[in-house]
Amino acid sequence: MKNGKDHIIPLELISRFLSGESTDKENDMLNQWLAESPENAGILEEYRKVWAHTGILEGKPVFDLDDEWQHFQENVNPSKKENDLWNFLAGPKFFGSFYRMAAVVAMGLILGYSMFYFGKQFSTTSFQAQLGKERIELPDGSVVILNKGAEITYPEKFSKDNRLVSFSGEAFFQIQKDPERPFIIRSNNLSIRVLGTSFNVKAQPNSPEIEVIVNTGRVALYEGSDRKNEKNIIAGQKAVYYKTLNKISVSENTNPNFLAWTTGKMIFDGSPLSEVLEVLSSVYHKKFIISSEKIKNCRLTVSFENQELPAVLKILETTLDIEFTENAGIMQVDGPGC
Amino acid sequence: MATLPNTLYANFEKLFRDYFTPLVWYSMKIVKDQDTAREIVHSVFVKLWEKADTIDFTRPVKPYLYTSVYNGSVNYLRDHKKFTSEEKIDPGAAIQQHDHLETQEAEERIYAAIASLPDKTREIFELSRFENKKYQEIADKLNISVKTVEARMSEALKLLRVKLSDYIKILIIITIELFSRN
Repeated sequence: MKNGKDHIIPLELISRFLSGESTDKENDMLNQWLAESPENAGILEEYRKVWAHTGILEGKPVFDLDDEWQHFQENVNPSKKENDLWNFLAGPKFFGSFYRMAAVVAMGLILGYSMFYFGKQFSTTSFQAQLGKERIELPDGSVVILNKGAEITYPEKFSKDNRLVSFSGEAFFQIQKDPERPFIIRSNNLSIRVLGTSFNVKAQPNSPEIEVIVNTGRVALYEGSDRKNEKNIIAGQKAVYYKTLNKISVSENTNPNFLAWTTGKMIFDGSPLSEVLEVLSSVYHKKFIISSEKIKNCRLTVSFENQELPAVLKILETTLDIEFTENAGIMQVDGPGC
Repeated sequence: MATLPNTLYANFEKLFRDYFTPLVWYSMKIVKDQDTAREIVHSVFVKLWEKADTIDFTRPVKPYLYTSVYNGSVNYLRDHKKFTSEEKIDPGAAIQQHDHLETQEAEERIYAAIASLPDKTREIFELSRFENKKYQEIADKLNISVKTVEARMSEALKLLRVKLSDYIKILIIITIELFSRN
């Protein structure tokens, strides 16, 4: 530091030297640097010591601390009671092997299968919203609003460690806060974990994706029971789980109407017709087919609140100059274009 | 089992993650077998958990952990004595705890220092230092450039030097003098 210049330490040179990768030319450069100031030799020495000392760990076994921590938790909280089967079902070992066995079984049947397998030793309830929207209350006071066709299975009483349910279809969950007992929804191979929050899940059995949109609070998603790569989403975010790709992708939710099917409120602000019809489909349970490419991107700015479908369609017909025709239960839409 | 307050649980998990691996290495010095060492360390943590509400986490728990693992390991040997022509264990010889603790301190410090490196940096450092892979091999394996590997290695050395600085100053090692050749 004699002339006040900043001390530059050639770390790349030093690291190449220590790992045995340096060329003769690089060694010469290092020598030059050493000659520049007596301090440099001391610095190189320190780095040499770091390199040498870290070597004492060479060959030592390493452990997956997540696995070991899990093992520890199993040691302190064994569920050996035969009647406490929900603890067993919630455990990683069971789900790990079960999903391999049940790979071909449709989601809605999985809990039914396990009930058959274990007999009447524990009681769970399976509920399906067959006629339309249904609201149910779970043993902990959490509320689930099921869309038509959705099915949920839950125990008579939640275990003391977590609240585990299995689910398929579309539903809006309002989960009671309980930090001691995370609420875990299993759908296909996806686990959705929450402490207390509200969010929408779309897990149709014949769809390749599961979509979760958070309304309030925060939700964690992960595969099976492996929380290592879990993804967190908060209000305003959406997560999509691609079943065959085993991938969870997080993005901003751009659909303001994701709860329209439960609230009956729809708000469209310059939305293309294709998007409008998707929302109508989820609210009124009707399938829509656009017959003409020309009207696909017609934009609509309007809001609806708890109106009957015929009234909604009439407004659309007038606003966009389109026509709806019902054909064998499917609504076809046609028009000259915008 | 009573539910413990959240912060105690979080502290316990941190304790577990920080010490599990060095404790297994410590036990292995005595029992010589990895699986046995693992079981011993697990049982020590379970016992500790059972006393968890009496632990004061502001005071060092480390000596307790090491002593328990030492005791567990020595007891294991006593209960599973093997007498072969080469490995006859003299029952009169006491295995001194301090015999192993000196190098243990070093291992633990270095383990903690490496564990605290940023993930990618740690991964690259371990590949170079413990698997003796060349920079090009590392670059190919991780699909990055050699320049990136160099940069990460430099970062690793820089961070490790800081973390181990006070420790290094009191150690004497034999070094190879590159520059003594004339």
